[in-house]
Amino acid sequence: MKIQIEYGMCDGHGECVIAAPEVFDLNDDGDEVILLDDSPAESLRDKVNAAIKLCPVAAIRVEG
Amino acid sequence: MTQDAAVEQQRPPAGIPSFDDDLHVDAVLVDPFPTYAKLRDAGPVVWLEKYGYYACARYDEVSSVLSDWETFTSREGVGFNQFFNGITETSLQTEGDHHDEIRQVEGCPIKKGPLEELKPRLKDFAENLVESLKGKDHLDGVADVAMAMPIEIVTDLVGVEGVTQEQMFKWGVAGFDSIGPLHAPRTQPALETMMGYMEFADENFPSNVREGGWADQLFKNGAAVGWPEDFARGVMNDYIYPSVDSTISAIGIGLLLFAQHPDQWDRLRADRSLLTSAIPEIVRLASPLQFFTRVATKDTEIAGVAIPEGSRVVVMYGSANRDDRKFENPDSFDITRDPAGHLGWGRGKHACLGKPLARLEMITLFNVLADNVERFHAGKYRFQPNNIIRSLGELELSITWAQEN
Ligand code: SF4
Repeated sequence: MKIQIEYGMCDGHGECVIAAPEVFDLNDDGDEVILLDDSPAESLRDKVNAAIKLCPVAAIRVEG
Repeated sequence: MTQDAAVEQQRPPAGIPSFDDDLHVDAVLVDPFPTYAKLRDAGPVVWLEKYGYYACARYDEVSSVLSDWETFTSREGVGFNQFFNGITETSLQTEGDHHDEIRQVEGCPIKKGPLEELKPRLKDFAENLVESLKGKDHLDGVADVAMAMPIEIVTDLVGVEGVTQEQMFKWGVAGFDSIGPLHAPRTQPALETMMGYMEFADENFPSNVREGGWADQLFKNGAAVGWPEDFARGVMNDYIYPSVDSTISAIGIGLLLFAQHPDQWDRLRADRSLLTSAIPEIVRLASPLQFFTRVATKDTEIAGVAIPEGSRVVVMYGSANRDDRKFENPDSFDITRDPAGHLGWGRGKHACLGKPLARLEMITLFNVLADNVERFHAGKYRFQPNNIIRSLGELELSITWAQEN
């Protein structure tokens, strides 16, 4: 599983951080996502999917 | 079961605490907290007889309903009457790929790049505003401070010609009132005002929009993805009314909170990095939007309570944000509180579109105020009832200005 973020879209809502804190964080200003792990372990797939489902601007994509 | 069938089902479902409270009378709109506490205490799901709707007042349930748009859809409308709920040209009341497309097109100007360019302009605006306040003895925190930036800046950014700021504000108020239930006294007049707005929109958009403004970009970017003009005109509503009042509400209540909690103001003045938690804390306590609704797409449950397909569920952001199951001392104002998790901007797919702009407006304004204001003193104030937005109508304010150094 490989994660891609469309940073231009991200609003810093932080939904992804709540859904999958192992994978996502917010920057210090709280206005943009930081990708902690761009190829997370398979065991995190459910959490990553939850993040994708919650992101208001569909900024998160996953391949594989 | 359709939404209408749910409304007809006036008898409370068995085993669920049932209340005959009307959320949309003035006394509750201006001070909803005792009602919220009662509903939260009664259980994770309650039944509202006046509406024929279920309601969630506790944090966990509000959060989980908002997160699960497949089960609790916005597609049947998020309001309290069928006229508002029938509007489909908005990301607010669409789901899935269609929602994402609208949201991406309308969100274009409210992104990092454009907002970065806006920063110096907002700062200048805030500095000029504060200078102009210094000459006045008595201020209205709402009219003189809270309204200035959202109205002037947003009206200009959207870029529709021939719309006065006053008109913009009236549409803002009516836009939110028009979401209320038909039994509430404000709803019908507001629906009529919005009909007037629609006529204005038909005549003036896109012919009278400023080149390069948000409206202009929306019509152009919409056309690029194949939207008919009518559809783009509908989507434009998302800029017109939600962009002004909600921010005015948060700024006004923020001023009141800092006047009532001088210790928090001192902390912010001493450490501006606290703005990134202070602004969310204001938005948590203010909760400019108090509630919306969702509709169950299938037979489901919330916290073990059965919810039949087609039921409408009220999600009470303002109550969830005061839930002591989630927030320690929920009514206290603490600008160092962890900013994550509150529901003041909503949650999930339909979280506030304008958040990045509203947040930037508030950070800029309160930062400039912190440079200049030693103390806010609040006099009399009153909340202005609205079907959705909790906002101050008036706030007597006097200011002790900081000594220049
Ligand atoms: S949920 Fe989406 S918009 Fe929010 S921080 Fe994550 S990627 Fe950005």
